[in-house]
Amino acid sequence: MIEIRDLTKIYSGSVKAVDSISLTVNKGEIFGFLGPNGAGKTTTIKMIVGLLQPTSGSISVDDIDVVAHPVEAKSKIGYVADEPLVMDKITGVQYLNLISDVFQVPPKTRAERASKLLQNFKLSDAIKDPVSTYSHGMKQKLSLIAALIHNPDLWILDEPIVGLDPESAFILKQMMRNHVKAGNTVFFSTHVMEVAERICDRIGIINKGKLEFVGTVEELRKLRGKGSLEELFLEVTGSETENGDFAYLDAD
Amino acid sequence: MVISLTSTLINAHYNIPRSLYHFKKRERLWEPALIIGVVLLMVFSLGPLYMSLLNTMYDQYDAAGMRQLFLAGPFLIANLFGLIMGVFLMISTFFFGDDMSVLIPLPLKSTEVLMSKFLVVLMDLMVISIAVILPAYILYGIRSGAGISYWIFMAIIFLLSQVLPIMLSAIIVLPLSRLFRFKRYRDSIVYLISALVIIGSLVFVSLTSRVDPNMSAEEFARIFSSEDAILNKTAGAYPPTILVTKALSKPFLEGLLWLLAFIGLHAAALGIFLFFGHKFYYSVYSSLQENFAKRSKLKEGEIAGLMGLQQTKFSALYKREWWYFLKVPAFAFNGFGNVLVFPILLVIAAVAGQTDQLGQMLDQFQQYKPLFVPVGALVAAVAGGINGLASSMFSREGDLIRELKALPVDVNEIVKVKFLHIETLSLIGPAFGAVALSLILGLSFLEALVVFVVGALTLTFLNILQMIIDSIKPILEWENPQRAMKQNVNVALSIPVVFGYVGGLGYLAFLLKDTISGTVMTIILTAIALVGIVVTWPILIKRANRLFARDL
Repeated sequence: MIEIRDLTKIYSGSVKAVDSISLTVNKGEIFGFLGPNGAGKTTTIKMIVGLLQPTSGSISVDDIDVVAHPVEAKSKIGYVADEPLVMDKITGVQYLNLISDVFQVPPKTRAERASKLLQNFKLSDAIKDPVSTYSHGMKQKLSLIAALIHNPDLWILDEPIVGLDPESAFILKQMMRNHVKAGNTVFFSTHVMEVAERICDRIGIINKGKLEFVGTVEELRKLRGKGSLEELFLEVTGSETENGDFAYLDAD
Repeated sequence: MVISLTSTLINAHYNIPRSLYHFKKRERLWEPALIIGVVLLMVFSLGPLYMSLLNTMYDQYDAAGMRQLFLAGPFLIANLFGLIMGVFLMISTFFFGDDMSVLIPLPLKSTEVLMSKFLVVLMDLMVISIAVILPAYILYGIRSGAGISYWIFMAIIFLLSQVLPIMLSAIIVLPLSRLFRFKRYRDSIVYLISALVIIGSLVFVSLTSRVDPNMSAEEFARIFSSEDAILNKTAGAYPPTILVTKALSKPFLEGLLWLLAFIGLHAAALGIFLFFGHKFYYSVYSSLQENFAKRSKLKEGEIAGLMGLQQTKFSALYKREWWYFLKVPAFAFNGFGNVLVFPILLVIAAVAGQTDQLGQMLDQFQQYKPLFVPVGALVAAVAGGINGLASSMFSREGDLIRELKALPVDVNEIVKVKFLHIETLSLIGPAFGAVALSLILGLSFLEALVVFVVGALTLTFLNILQMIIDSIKPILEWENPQRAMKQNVNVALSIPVVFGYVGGLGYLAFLLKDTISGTVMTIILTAIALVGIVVTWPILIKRANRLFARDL
């Protein structure tokens, strides 16, 4: 579904945010993209959805080159950004109609899907109000509904769990599982190791722009020894946090 | 505290750290070079004309023995401009900047934040004083052979010259905003109050400074009996002008007293400003943050009604343009204001002109009747071409340009949508302009129609040029929507383009009035506009595609 080859992104001529990564995400799998802050996760995702131009390398979605045919590629994707990008001044329903129109979702389908999604994410009561009245979590939910309303084959979610209440997070995880069961694909980034461990078919760990590992959690354990995914993640990314001394914070 | 806060806010406001970062890395050097180039171009092209105008005015006042009146005009104009431009800027900076969410939790007094923000707005407005007051007062000082005290007083007056307009508007807007507790459209109400403050001030100034045409000869003579009487009449609507004029024109001690009165007025205004700031600032800000929400339950099947209509991509995006434009008060007020203000000013001039000297001046225009249609079309184009909409085509998107970019929509489609939206709004200018010119110059219906059509074509060409300017490097990183319009360098760059085009062709028409007929001129103008549109449209499309291909 997603084919990334030798992808590199260099910012401002010097900062290498993504360093020659290659990755295949198959149809029918949930792929978790892990990495510390500033590792290159969001940059990679933004290149997949066409927000950033790769410095070199290629990305294709369902065999469509993202750079050469952006409109076709984007119409296959439902994207939720790390920070909800929703026009504040309009109402939730106006926003959903805008997205449905752009993706050409027929009225009956959009109403049915919206009705169910709004119920699932408990946003029905607020949908007629301006987005500016929403909390961060509600905006995140609206972004999710907008990304899913056109029933895309590929979901690309950048930190989708952040800001969601436990119930909505649970529902989203269920939806992700159902989506891949139907032969579709989910690519998402997260810092929550439990979530990655529980629902991902495969994970990729990126650190300082380089892809350090791609495979299942079991394969990672075989490679790095027993331990929780969190411990393995810290080991792969070379973190020294475990030995940190933070007593200075409470010193007089 | 205020100094540290002000320097931080100024750094953020002008993006100084980022500019220094790029400068140190020798990147984007063309940006400051371009701005400096445009400023120098304006100074060297308009400067001599402006100075000659000032010299003529000085000569006239000097000959009439009323030299000090020369000082009144620039101060009055600069303050009026300061009020008009400053009020929206002040509202946006004081109430709608994202930095407030960072500043309010800090242990700062509301008056400290208010003062720092006031100084930021003041820095923006000083541009007006630099352009209007400084050259005139320097010229006065040199030509009148003023002593050292003049230059010291002048420097103080110059530095304080934009303080009162901001304080006055804040003093009016702060308590009024607290008074109007509208739940919905609260931000629009604040802008509306500001617009009313401006209109009220303009009406007040025009009414109080206007000479009644039915005035008796005695009354007229009394007004012109002395320099002070004229000063009181012309500047009476805005008393600080009298203080400034006297401070700069009277002998040292008397001048000093007037200057102290001027400073005292500022101190009093500062006191009231801080008093109102302390009383209302945070509470007004806080009430503006409260959103009106119904949170009403969806009825059975209601969603089908709400989402029961499918539109084309184009219509959906076009609607989005209007939503965004109308629901951001800074955009709506600037956009509508600028296309309506200019024609309204023309009509006011025409109506007022029926009774006094302006009427005689308009009568003199009749000798240039063949130029009415071609030059009228150019004026009509200006009426719609200086609203800053085309030159902030992409800048107005800000962060939301990423939303656009993530959507499966062709860039050409986005450009067409934005073009249609800008044209729809801008065409109000030539339409009203044509009507206003008909009233002023007595054009026939057909002539007015030609003025509108040719004006609209010229405007379309100018709009495309402005859109190209913005698509080369839009200002997308802003928190305050004013930055996307009033403080946008692209808008500033497009002004000389519009005025250069219209002024250049207008001047050419005037020079060739005896050689080429008005009809031929109109045909030539139409041809230039049509060719311009055909040539520049592909450039716009190319630039927009290049913009969307960039990292946003």
